[in-house]
Amino acid sequence: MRVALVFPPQGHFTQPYLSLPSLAAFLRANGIVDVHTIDASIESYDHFLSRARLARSLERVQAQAGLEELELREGLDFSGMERYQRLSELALIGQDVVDNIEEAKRVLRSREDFYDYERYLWAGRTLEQGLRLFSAEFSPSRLTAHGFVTRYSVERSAEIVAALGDEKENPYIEYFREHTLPKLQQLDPDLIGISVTFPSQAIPALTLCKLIKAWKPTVHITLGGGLLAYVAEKLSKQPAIWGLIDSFVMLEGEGPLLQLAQGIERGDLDLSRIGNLIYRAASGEIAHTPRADPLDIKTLPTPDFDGLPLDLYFTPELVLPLAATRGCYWGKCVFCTLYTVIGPGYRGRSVAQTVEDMQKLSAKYKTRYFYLAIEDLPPNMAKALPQAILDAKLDVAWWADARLEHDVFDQAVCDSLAASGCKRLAFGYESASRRVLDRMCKGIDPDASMDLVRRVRQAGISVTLYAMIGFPTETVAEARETLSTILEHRELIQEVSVRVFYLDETSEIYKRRKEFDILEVYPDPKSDLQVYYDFKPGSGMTRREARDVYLEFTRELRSHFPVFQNTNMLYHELKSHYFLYLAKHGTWEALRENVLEPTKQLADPRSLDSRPRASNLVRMIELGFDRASIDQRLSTIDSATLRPRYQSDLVEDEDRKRFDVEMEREPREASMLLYDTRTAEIHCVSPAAAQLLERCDGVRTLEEVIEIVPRPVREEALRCVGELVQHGWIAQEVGR
Amino acid sequence: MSGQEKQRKDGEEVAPAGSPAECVEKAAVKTEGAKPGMKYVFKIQPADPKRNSIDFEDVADK
Repeated sequence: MRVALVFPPQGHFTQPYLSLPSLAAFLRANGIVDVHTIDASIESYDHFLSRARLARSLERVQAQAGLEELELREGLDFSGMERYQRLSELALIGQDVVDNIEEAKRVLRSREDFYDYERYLWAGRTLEQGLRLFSAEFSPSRLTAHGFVTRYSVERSAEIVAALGDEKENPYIEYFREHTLPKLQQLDPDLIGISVTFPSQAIPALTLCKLIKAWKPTVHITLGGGLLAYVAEKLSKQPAIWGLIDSFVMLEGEGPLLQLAQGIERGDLDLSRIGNLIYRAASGEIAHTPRADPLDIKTLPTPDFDGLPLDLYFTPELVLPLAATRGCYWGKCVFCTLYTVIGPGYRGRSVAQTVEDMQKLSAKYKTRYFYLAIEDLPPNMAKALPQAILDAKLDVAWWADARLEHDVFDQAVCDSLAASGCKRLAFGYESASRRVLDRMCKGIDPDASMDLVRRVRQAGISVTLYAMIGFPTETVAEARETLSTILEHRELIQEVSVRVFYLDETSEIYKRRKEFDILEVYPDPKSDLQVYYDFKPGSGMTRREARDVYLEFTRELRSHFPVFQNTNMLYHELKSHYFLYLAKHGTWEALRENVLEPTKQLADPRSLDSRPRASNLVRMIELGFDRASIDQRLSTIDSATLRPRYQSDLVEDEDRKRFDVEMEREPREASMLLYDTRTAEIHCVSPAAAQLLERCDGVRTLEEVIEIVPRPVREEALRCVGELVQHGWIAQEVGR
Repeated sequence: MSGQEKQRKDGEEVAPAGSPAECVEKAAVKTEGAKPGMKYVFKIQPADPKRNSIDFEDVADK
């Protein structure tokens, strides 16, 4: 009996997810030992971001030819601007990205180079550019560090099915055919379990199923995971799905998967006797089996990460997820559905078991880094886990989500958490308004929240706050109060994760929507898998206002929080990179001082009475359109403002057609695009600024460089030279 | 508004095409190397649109 478990793309690339190791450990502990785990997400990232694969993309995209065609136009419509933005970048940097991608991955995996912030930023940017080059081949589909979106909506089953055959826009058809399928063919499993947690995995997962079924129709494929708790029942009504899979597992997967494996092994598989399944019966009817009892997670084995490609993740240290609990011990917030995904009820492992899990994993995988993948750190664990870690003499660094439990996180608890290696706590703060929090049934006192945050900071632990905007009945003034409270306390807070409220049909608030003054709900008749709904509030802010305030929030956060400023790289690689940097530097203060905000020397070009010379690490191309203007115009278009946005931020075809007609065309206007090979940064440079840089030839004096500039704007020119020096694009020849 | 700011706002200083612009002292300006029609706007900005506008929501989901 051989089982293959697959985590399909797209998940984050900085650490393994917990589903496969949990399932594999459970199967092995229960006699099904021939279990193979495949993280197709990290494997595909590693392949897509390889020199050979990106060279193929560069060849297929033909950026230079495409750009030349656009340069012949008198003006650019919306689609033309999008294309111009993409192709001008690739024409400038495409070959560098191909040449540097392997080194970039090496840097992110290197214990020495990862913590050299300049090298880290170079590598992170190169990786993102690599993803843009790869995505250009499959445009408008887009693969980033955080998502995979296509023009096909994952809220519509017919579109998902259509995406499975679109080789031009679905990169996973080719990838699976060349890589994952041959691996599965070699294994030749009797049962394949595919874990689908995120909407971004839906199309890749079913793409793989289609290829597997074309190869071996008799193999039983079961789909499980968090996303299916929301959509499996709806998806089961799409007839085409039953040619791709054999069953869905709802809620937690251990029990049903074991029974499937045992049934197949015995040769008497009877799906009707396995709990938490959806399958198609011989009669053609869709059958739902009764709910199985939730597992007592104290009986579960330690997750088993064997078989996963642990050296492929884009981090220098392995950060292992570990679930000490399932569900949420609070479980009352009316907007939340997350804690129902894993099954009803709250369950926890003991503190001793959690420490033992850490000990085992730490010794086996030679790592000291853990992410407690739980809804929130329960009070007993907050109080007892630190001492247990210290008693066990475990040298670990870890982080977790937690509730703002004012009675739990006193200074002594915060100090002991820090002493045990806790580097970061992320709290569900949501709002500064007592009224809004009470309506959410959040059970926290906003007046006491910042005192708690202060104690956590006092202990040296980094604080993240989750905030929500647009909860039904919330006013714009209340949302702004949240923002101003956060800004007022910004010295205490390191990160804020903000999002707009979504009306989720499985939430308590959806069931009781009249109580929350939700007047109407607008389901999209074409979206048979829809989970989130647009709605009309009777009071408080409108949906449009909620989005506007959200954008206001994000602008303010970028202005005031060091982690979100400049390159924002640590934020974007949030899952593990920020945590690893924190652990390396010990405290937030040290990280901020040493890495994020090192003292910069301001360049005063007047002090250089030498002969400046442009760096040979900088390269420019001349463009017929103003890239800065195009960037600015495209950035003002927010797909979520245009229409409710839940699973994709791509502009809909319908909106695109309208923009192409209605938007004023971008006129011709020369500009330069500059690539700094040292930092991998790309800049829009005005022709006048570029001319100054070009005149810095190591022979001319500064005076001679700017003498070409009309006198009234020479001050501007000098300031510009200072900026060029600041960027490191000008070196000096002293003493000539 | 300073004269310089006004000048920029009004449509930027334009370089001479063969002959010095009126606003520039002839003796002080070398026109050799000046590009005809050059607008003397000195701007440098990151060309990384997704970097600056990436949606916090996308990041929060995973």
